[in-house]
Amino acid sequence: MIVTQIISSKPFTDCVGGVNSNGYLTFALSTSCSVTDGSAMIGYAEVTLQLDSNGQVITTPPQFLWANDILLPPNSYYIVTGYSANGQLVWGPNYITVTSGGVGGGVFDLCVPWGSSLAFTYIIDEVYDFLVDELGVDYYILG
Amino acid sequence: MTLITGGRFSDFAGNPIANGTLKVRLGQDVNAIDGTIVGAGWLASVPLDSNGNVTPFQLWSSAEINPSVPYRFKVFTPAGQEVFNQEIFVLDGPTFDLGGASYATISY
Repeated sequence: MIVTQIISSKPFTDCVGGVNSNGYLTFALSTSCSVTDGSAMIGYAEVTLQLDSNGQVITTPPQFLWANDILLPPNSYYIVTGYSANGQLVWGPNYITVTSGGVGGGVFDLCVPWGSSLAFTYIIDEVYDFLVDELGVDYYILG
Repeated sequence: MTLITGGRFSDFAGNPIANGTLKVRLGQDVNAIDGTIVGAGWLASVPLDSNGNVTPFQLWSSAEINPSVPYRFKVFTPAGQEVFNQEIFVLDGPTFDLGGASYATISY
């Protein structure tokens, strides 16, 4: 079985519409896994996917992950965290299950049309609440 | 997106928070209506004028984001003292006057 290309048809942005230019996402598996056909064992070390100047996952060269639906144990997922180009935490960590129709390969879009079920399980950002609201840290200042 | 205006932030005596700063961030990560993925880790900093009003800027309204969550707004004096700290749902529309934000829109 083969890995799945990850794309984002829309950008990662801030709350005022600016894109996360040249930032990056880290993906970590929820647990060590094996591919269902026995072709690989996969640890839970982080994988980094780069964003381009438009805040979208770089497609040249393509960036790949194992789809969760060809991994054992079942119900694994990725823990995804977004960073600015300067390495500051700006998004996540959130959860996502990458799917491939159970066969591997293909393309998986992190973005979904409005009205569809969210691809990500969004976690309440207690990190931001603590840093910004409790400690008064200016976490990442826009313009 | 909705244009955020006004505010008329003032102290107890009615004096405007002249030339202060408004800082705003989302309550959590969300998807926007145009498909973008919006991070709550970004903190926007907006200057106030001499009357305590914000320099107009744009935010996604709460109807344009999923999950529909409020923003955290804080206001600081020019000396850096925090004088306002509330969660507010940005109602959908072409403009949203922060100074007109009713208690119904504020989450304590």
